[in-house]
Amino acid sequence: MILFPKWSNKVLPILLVNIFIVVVLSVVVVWYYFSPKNTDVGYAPKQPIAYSHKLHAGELNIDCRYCHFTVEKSAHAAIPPTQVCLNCHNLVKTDSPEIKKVIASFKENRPIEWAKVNLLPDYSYFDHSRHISAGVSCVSCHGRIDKMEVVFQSEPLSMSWCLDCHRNPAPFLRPAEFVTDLNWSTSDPVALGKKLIKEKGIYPREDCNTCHR
Amino acid sequence: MSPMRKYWKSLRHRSNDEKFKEENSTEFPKSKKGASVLQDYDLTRRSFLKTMGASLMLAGVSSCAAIRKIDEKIYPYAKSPEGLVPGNPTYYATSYALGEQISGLLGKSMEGRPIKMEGNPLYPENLGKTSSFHQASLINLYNPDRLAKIVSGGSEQGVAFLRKWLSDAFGETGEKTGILFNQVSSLTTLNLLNEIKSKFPSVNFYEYSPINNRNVYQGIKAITGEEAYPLVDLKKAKVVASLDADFLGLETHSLRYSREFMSKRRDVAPSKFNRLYQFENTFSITGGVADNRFLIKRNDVELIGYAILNELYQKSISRINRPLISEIERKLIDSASELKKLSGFKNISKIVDDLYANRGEAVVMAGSHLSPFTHSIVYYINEILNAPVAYYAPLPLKSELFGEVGENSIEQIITDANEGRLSNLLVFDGNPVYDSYANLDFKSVYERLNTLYLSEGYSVTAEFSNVVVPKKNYLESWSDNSSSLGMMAVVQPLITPLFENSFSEIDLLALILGKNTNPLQEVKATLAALNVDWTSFVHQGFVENAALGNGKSNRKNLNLVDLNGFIRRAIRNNQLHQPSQGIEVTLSPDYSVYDGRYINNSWLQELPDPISKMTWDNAIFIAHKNARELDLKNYDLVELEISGRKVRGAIWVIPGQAEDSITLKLGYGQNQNGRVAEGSGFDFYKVYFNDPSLYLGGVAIRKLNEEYILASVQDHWVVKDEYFEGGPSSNSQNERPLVRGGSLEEYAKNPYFVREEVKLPELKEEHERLAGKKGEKEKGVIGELSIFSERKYDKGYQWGMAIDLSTCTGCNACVISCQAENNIPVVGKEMVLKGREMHWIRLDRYFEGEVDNPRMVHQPVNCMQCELAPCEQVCPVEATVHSEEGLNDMVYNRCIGTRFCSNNCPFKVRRFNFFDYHQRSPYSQKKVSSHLFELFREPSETLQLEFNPDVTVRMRGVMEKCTYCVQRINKTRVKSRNEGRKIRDGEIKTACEQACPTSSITFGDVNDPSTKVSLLKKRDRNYGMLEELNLKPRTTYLAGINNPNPAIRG
Repeated sequence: MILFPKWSNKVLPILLVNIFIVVVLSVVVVWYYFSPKNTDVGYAPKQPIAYSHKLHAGELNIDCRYCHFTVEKSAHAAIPPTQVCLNCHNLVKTDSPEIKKVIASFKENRPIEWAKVNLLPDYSYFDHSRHISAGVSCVSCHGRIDKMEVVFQSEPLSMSWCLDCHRNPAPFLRPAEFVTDLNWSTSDPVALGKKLIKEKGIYPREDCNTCHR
Repeated sequence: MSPMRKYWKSLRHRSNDEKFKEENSTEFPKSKKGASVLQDYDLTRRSFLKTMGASLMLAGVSSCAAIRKIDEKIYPYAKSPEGLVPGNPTYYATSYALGEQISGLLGKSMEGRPIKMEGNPLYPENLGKTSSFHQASLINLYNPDRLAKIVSGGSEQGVAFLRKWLSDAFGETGEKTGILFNQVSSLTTLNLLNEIKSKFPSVNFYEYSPINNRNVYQGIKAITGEEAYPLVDLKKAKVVASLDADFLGLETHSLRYSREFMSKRRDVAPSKFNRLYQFENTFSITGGVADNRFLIKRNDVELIGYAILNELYQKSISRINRPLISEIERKLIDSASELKKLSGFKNISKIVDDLYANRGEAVVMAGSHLSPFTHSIVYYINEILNAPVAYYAPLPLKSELFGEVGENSIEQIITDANEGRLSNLLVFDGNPVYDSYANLDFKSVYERLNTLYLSEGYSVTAEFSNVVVPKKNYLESWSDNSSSLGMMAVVQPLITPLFENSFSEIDLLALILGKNTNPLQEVKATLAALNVDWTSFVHQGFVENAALGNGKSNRKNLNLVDLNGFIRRAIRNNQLHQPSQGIEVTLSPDYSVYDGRYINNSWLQELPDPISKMTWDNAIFIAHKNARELDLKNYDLVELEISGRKVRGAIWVIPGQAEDSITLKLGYGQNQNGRVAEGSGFDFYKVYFNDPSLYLGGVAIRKLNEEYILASVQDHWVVKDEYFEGGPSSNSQNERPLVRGGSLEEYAKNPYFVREEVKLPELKEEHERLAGKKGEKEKGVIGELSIFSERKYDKGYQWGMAIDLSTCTGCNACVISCQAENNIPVVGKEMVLKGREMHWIRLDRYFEGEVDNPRMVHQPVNCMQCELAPCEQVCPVEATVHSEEGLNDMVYNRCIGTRFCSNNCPFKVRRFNFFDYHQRSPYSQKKVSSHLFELFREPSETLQLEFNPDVTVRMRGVMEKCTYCVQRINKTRVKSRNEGRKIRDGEIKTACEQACPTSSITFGDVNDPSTKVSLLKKRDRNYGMLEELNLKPRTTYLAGINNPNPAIRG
């Protein structure tokens, strides 16, 4: 008596091959899609006001520090208070519907609810001022903000990504005066970086407590 | 070589019987009171499978961590406050008054939220130091139980109602209306009261607080004719005799006294070292520091004062005058003759010898609770000794409005009410229905009156008040604190009031006057009247101004005839104390809740008492011997009956308690006050009398056949103080000297005596032996002794700490400062019983010597940051690793909670989050969930504001411990590197170091030989705890040295 039909002989190898494919696929899927490179890079939330960095930082060439003025003093490169917008916009384009929102915020003393783009976990502590004074440019972490109509996250901001630079800072350093010049480039960044490391005694720490405390 | 001392933490630890050893053989106590970890669940096979299933599922969910994180919003200011930089703290000078003690503070504000209180380094009283009360005052602001609405007759009311109530009460002249204050220390308030007095001439002002200095003022007035309070210059005092004065603990000026007293002990120079004689019935912080401590019933302490005066007479007064004083002498001796058997009395002549020999540098201090007559006596003693004491009169305006200190107090209210002179009473702060003298029955009077109560929190007084008005916290409103030392300190708001309809003292007084001013204008007006510049006042935090009209009172030169007459009158009026019979009952303020005002403060509630190490409760402290006689043991519930009044309480047998003397700590048993206060301790105000004769009848003790479990942490986290067999040898009985110390005599003989208590292997020989064994193959044999390859820490900053046990009083300021800085949760009494308290600094309290009258030593134990840390070697996930600067880093986000590290830590300084205590707190609220991971609960909205944003708030299942305040190190490092310089010595202060009133903790770079901490570590007294294990701890201790009088033995 034959319990199983003949085709059932093929079931086991087919199953094995399929299982293999599924396993490989799921590893690939998790590897790629679950990594911050996929989940975080490119994240561009909708902002309450259609503010264009491309216009302000790019075409008008306003220095980053005009608005993010705490970047050299504090761990945070704070989003500017509404007051700062109104330095120009109490005269410029006051009838635009977007600017009206800004003026309303100031008049009502109500903060504008910006959506956070670059989100670090609560257990990591990043200090802007230290990176700026060491000569790490804004562009290293934030990308070409001056070309972004809507700001998106341009780097994964994962721990290994941080450590890449902390372990080999030379290619990412530049003289402090060019830190906010997103278009700046040099012929041999590594040589310059090494020179700066020596001059300034730059010593990126890799201890856990550098970022976690 | 001196014999090693035997230190013990509790009576059970001292006996060290098999049961104690068994219970403490594991990390968490195994007694029935504190179950070990899994015993809270009834774990069956079925529930085990359920738990495991759920865990697996959750593990699956958590692997979805790669989902894009929560959408967060950024809220920048619309109009930014001047000078505010997000991420950088701003400090505002303010001040805090506790009783008559005024301390200058700096409030640390992050983006408009006050998150930590530090001392104002300029304010002369505390010079940058703080007490545990200052640190914990912060969460009173954020307490979710605070009153938020004006309530009358059970319904919410508005300001209009309040206005009407006030105008009805005050009418035209303020007749039959009174205002009761707890403690007025604001000149602005006094000015407004003055205005009220001129507008409503018939209004009465009263002042009452249960812990006060009334007797001191009265005693000094009785002899000099002028009210004054003594201020001792302890920098100049070499010999101090204290009659039950807890001047390093809860008495006025304690922060100043702690600093000045300990400044004489820091260098351990025999020529400078001071000596303290303490007479007391129960251990106080001051008694723990005392060099010679005499146990004596509190009643009899007063007789010691007479005896000292008597002895001093005989020494200082020429023979010719003798007959004149013989009568007094006889009386004094008579009254003291009963005491001859007491050790304190036996040694009086030796103590007086010591005092007299150091005339000009000797002082006698008396506890504020002693009778006025004793304060007069002490005044005269200090005159004979030419003691470094100055006397300060109260603020003149205050005397004008309130009369003499204690004159218009709770007694006067009762008289006025009974005689129909009072029908409306406004109570400004305090809690008089709860804490007024029990024999006066204030409650029944209060119920009859038409009352308004201004208070931050609910209390029994609120229950009986007609109108309850929420009070602003001191961090929400402008005011000032003026002290009779001629200083006026600012009280500056750090935050907009959390509740709309809340009032400060000044707000309400202005409302009474019908003024439209705000407190800021009022304080400015006060200053303008004094011609003081506003900016410098606010910037510096205080002004010293002679125009304040106060300062030193004139001292009258007393002569013998005056004193004779004075004492004769006292004898005639029967003011002299009689020796007490039977068991006495004494009441004192508590180190955690003071007079009861901090009952709803969770930090202070969980703070272990410095002596009993009790959390969340008070108890009936009783001496070992009495407990045995009465067949009482810890946790027994008893009923005490004193003059017909009964109180219940649980027994706590405590070493160093005078025989036949029971101590009750005030302030507990206020269940209605809030969720923290609920179920904590016993109300002993029921036997708090203002008439000492009511205590003379003694006490009846009735044992109830019930137990009340108390949560004392004294036997928690026991570091094994016995060596395993074959371990390194020590001098006596195979014990590890964890805490070390000795007398000045011993130290003078051999300054290195503490180091010799442990015999370390001769390392050099050992190296040679090893080198010889291994042959010529390896040259560098350093580290060969260790089984680990040792990392060298010789570059850059290397952080270390030195803690001086000579100057540590055990006051707990460091523990709370650490809690505030590092977001340490409160766990609650049940968890404390299980040994799960979270404080990163454990303040070990040891006794040494005989059971009945031991010495007390405190040892703060934080993470030692061992260079060869045993915890790091067992962590399976490298969640705890060493940094280049020698710190033992704890990486919370890596920790998976195996607890191996804590198990392997020889110092037992690691703390595990068994639960998310912020979620489990009675103050937690349901989270508004916007994301998969935002489940469950979170701390209440207001308490979230308190968190230090520079420190991670840890979750359940994570190990944590002291980090040497790495957030402060990092911030300072970033600052110094931005400025292109090195970190200066003393620039980084850890939270504990910054708070420590005696500067016993020093932190700094040990790689730089010139830093303060390096110099301390080079001292002969320096030793590392368990250093014989080659752990290379970065925290080391300087052995505690004391200075007992060699003439007094035993």
